[in-house]
Formats: sequence, structure tokens, C-alpha cells
Amino acid sequence: MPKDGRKVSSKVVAIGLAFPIILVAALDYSLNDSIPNFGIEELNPRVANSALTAFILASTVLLGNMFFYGESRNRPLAPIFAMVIAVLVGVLATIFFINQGPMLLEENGSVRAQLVYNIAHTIVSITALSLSLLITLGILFSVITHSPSKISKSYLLVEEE
Amino acid sequence: MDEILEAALLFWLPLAVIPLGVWFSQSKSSTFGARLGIVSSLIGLGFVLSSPWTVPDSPSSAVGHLFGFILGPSILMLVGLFKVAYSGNVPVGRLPSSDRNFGAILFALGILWLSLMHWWEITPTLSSGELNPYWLIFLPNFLLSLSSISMAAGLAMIVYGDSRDKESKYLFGMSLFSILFLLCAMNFDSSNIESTEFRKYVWLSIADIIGIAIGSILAIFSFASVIFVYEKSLPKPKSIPAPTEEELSRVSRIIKENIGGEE
Repeated sequence: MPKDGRKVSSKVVAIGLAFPIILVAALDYSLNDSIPNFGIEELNPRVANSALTAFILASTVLLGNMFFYGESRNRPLAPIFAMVIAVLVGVLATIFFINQGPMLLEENGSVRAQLVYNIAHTIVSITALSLSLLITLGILFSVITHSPSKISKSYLLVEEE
Repeated sequence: MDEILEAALLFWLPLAVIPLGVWFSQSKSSTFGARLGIVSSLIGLGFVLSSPWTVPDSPSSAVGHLFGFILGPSILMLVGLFKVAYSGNVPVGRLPSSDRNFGAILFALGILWLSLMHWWEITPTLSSGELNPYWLIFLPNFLLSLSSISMAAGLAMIVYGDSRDKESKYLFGMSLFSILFLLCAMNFDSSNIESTEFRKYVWLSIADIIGIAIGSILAIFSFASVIFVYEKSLPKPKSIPAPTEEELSRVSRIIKENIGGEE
């Protein structure tokens, strides 16, 4: 496939990823009235808390990968230290922002309660994402293994010729 | 024991052991380490699932309660899909063709079970009688991500695959099912959840998914930056001298002697 064609294809797949979310939001926005006592003030802290917690969790997972990377480089500690600093920056940024009053404090009374809630919330969200990914992969493999093989088909055509 | 310490020992520590165990189980250098990883993950999962009984006063135990509720339908769906996939045209480990229908039934039962957990009386409810708050986070997130990932996978099959239009219809069907489920739940009350409440959680889930995407991209970016900076700081490897004429002719002779095969 030409390079430009591949670029367009990637964009189509990326749009497909966002399309259902935009569709559901647009349909709800146009079909229903606004939700009482709920607006952008409730959504913004969720985006910020979710981004900060996902950064900490993803950095911690990548820190594990950094260990293997360090091993392949005769165990230099420099990249591991750098990633530990990245995780610490995430943790400190979260504590700093939650401490700035009710800005990121959702329905929780203290910084510690909000931190624990953020982690539990993100774990549940990541579980939901992982389960949906596994189901999609399962359906994908099921339909591929139950469709006629493209290799044997083309081989048969060559044989017939 | 202190309530916080109890929650840390009986819930958070076992929860942290699960991914750590999975990480160790991937070790190829030590069989003992891999087995220890699997066993510790299972023990950790057992502790997390039993947290509603071991730490009932901790709000975090609601996560263990949710995991207990979704474990059944998740296993049914995944085992069902495994049976369908491996009863098809696979080169190794092929299951009997009758497993295809059995797997499809298991998958449908899993979906039905999960749907009834929203629409019927079997919604995850805590011992205090209130609805598990994490269920209202899990379900919209699951449906939104399922619709998005299925749609993207269906489109990827069309644009990258070779005449896979027919197969992609199943993925578009899954995506459509998820969108319709969401829209129904956002407009009709179920036996335990009001549609307005569900709508609120769907919007929060959209915010959640955007936040997770931003946070993960930032983490990957910082990871790549660390490797880039470190690799750049390394000294260049010493170059070896080019092969001499004598070495080149020797290599040519060895290749000539070994090339070809028995007819």
C-alpha cells in the first residue's frame, strides 16, 4: 500500500475509535435535557484526576519495563532513576493539585481519600477497557478462524491454472 | 487492628501482588519464579475477592465486591470466544467443531448475564443496601470502550485486511449493540438505576477515558524521552576494521561449499 494510503487508513481507524463516543454524547445532548446539578465543573476534575492517576500507573508499569531495558544495557541505574523521578513527579503533582482546595477534590473529604478513590476508580476503568479489548480480540480471531483461508484459496487457483 | 492498616494489608497489598505476580510469571529464565508468580497472583486475587468479608468497613472493598460480580460473566464470555476461535481453522490445538456452537452459547449467556445485572434485580448491591458505586463506573466505561474498540477493529479489518468486509460486520454489530445498550440505559430506568443517574455516569466515563488517554500518552512520552536521552549519552561503539581480501575470499569459499541442498 502507498505511504499516503496508509496514512489515510490510520486516520480512518483513529476516527473509528472516537466516533461511538462522539455519537453517544451528541445523541444524548440533542435528545435529552441537561442533567440537574451536573456540568463542566464536575467533568473537569474527573479528566484531571484520571489523567494524573493514569500517568502514575502507566509510569509504574513502564518502570518495570525499564528494569529489563537496564538489564540489556548491563544494568545501568540511570534510566531506572529517571523513570522513578517521572513517577514521583506524577505523585507529587497529584498531591499538589488536590491540595489546592476543592479544585480536584471530587466528593471526597481529604487528599488521602481522593488519592485512594482515584486509584480504585482508575483500576476499575482499566479493567473495563481491558475486558472490552479482550472481547474485541476474541471476536476478531473467531471470525478470522471461521472464514475461508485466503492462502489455501490463492494456492488452489494457482493449482487449477 | 487499625482500619487503614487492615485495608492496606487485606486489600491494597494483595491487589498490588496481582500485576507483580503476572510480571514474574512471564519470566523465562526461572520456572520457579514463573510458578511463584502465578500462585501469588491467584492468592492476591483471592484476597481481593474476599475483601467484602475481610474488610467490610473499608470503601475500597467495593472494588473487590465488583470484581466478584463481574468474574462470572467475564469468564463465560472469554471462554466462549476461546472455544469459538479454536474450533475454527487453526493449525494447532484445534477443538472439535461442536465447540463452536457451545462457545457461542457461552458468550451469549455472558452478555445476557451482564445485561441483566443492569436491567434486572441482580445489580451489584453492597451489604448496606446501596448500589455498588464502582458498578456505575465499570458499565459505562465497558460499553463505551467496547463500542469504540470494536468499531476501530472493524474499520482496521476493512482498510488493512484482504477482502475482510464480511468478517468486519460482526465487529460493527458488537459496536452497534453497545451503543444501543448505552442509549437505552440513558433513556429508560432499570429496576435499580435511574436513567438520569446513568447519563451522569456515562458523561463521567467519557471524561475518564479522555483522562486515561492523556495520562497514558504522557507516561509513554516520558518513557521514550528517558530512553532517547540515555541512548544519546552513550559513547559510540568502537568500529572494527573492514575485512581483508584474504578474509573475503575465505568467506566466499565457505559459502560456495555450503550453498545449495539435496535435490
